Amino acid sequence: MSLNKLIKQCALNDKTAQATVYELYGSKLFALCLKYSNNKQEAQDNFQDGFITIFHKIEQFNFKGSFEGWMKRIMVNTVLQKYRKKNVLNIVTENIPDEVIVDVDEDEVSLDMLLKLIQELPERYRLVFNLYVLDGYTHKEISSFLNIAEGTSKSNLSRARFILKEKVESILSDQISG
Amino acid sequence: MREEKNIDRLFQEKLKDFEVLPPNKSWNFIEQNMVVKSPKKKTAFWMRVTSIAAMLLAFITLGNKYIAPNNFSEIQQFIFKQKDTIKSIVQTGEAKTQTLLKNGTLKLPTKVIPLNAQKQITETELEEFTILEKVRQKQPNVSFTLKDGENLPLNKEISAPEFSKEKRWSIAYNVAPIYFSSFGSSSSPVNHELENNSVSGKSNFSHGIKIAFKLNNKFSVQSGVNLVGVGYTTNNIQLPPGVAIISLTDIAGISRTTSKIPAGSYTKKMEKPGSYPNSHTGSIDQVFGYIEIPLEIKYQITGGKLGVNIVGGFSTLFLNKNELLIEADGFRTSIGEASNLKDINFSGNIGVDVDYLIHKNIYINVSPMLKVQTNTFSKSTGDFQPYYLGIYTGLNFKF
Repeated sequence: MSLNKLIKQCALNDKTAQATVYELYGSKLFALCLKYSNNKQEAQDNFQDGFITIFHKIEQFNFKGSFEGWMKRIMVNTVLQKYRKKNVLNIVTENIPDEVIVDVDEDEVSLDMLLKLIQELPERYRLVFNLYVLDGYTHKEISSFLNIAEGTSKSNLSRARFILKEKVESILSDQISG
Repeated sequence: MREEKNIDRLFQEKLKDFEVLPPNKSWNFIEQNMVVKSPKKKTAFWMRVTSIAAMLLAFITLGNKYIAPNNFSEIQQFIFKQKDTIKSIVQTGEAKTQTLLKNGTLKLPTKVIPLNAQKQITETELEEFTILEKVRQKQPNVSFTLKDGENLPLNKEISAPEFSKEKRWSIAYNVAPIYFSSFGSSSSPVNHELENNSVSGKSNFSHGIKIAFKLNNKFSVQSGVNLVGVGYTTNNIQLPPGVAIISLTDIAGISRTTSKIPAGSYTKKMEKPGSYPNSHTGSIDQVFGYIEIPLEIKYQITGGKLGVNIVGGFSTLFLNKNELLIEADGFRTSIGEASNLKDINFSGNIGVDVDYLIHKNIYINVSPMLKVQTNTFSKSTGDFQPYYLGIYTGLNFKF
């Protein structure tokens, strides 16, 4: 069955087709939710809500862009909607350099560790870091998603980078000393 | 091996193809929520459709009740008929059973019991029917729906024409007695030599067709064609014996001016009654008619069964009849036509238009109108400004 037919079947509320889509994309989307959320439970909630939204809106998919990209946007949007509801306060802009360098041996850094570091970031920093670094959105787009100034988005990103750098370095130094 | 690395790059590379299997229970949760939500959506949709249908049905039923109340009794009659049919079926059944029993071919058949049971049920139902109907006949508004209906505007009698809101055209045939008179001095406009003779209006007659088009809820524009006949009498004309009128300056085409007597001497005599020894006193009737094409605006004050409108506009009048008659001692003689009447003149119209519904689309139309003419006469001598009053009455058909 072609992907397009699968999508159309999902729009007709075909259970098998929906399960197939879940099988195909569930892991990728759950990983996305893990990055954007601060723990596994929150990630699971976002993942479930996002997938329900995907199936409800699947008839609106116009077959023009990537289906995976479309689903990812819905997932991200689900997370951001919750964030908007929380109405986190704006943080004052600071001048921090664009590039942050970390002294690291990649083999010592596990994926689980990096994910944990991201999840531990304060919400605003986590969202901006994810959107900008991992999913390639611009500061302009992020500013509109989060309803913040572009400068704030940049500042949040820099803060996120510094926190991550410090944490990575501290873990690595712990590992060496330990 | 340690190296300096851009922190973005570190995360991007590590998390590039990052996939994690979602927890098993997630699918169950999603599936359950999909199942619950979809039928909900459908139910909501069907509920909406059903409720709209029910409302329509209620409207139609109520509409039928109030517009054609006989329908209700027809339904009742139908129910009575059904009752009779059921009764006869039951009776036939009984008769058959009895026959069978008499013949002794069957012992008490088991079927008798259900038949009797059916009979009892039917009778009870019939009784219930009758009771219900009695209650309905006594208190027709006893049920909830009807009570509700009482508050609907549908109930009011005035609502009947509201159904014909879409009927924008109306056509009417009107007949009107017309009273013709003048605002200025009552001196005769026939000829300057008769200026001092008194003039009286004559009742006359107009009839025609009126077509109106409704522009919106309040305004309509109307036009049509009317044939108008008006006239007035110039009194106290002194006539010489045996001679026709000779030459009044404003009279054209007199064919029977056979007199050899010079004109001047006679016209003078006409002004003063009794100055000529054997003269007769008579009158000149000027009769003229028009084809009138009005263009009027109607403003609706009340609508519905009794529609009251204010009408204002003007008419173009084309002269189609023009005659002067002399009347003396019971004789009436045409003496030609007046040359002082303009072929086309205008009138300003104002009045009221009342429609009263008599049947479906047919209304009685009564419209008293005052029409003031302008430039009727090309060279009027007195300040004779004619107007006419007409009560236009007829039937109006709206479609």
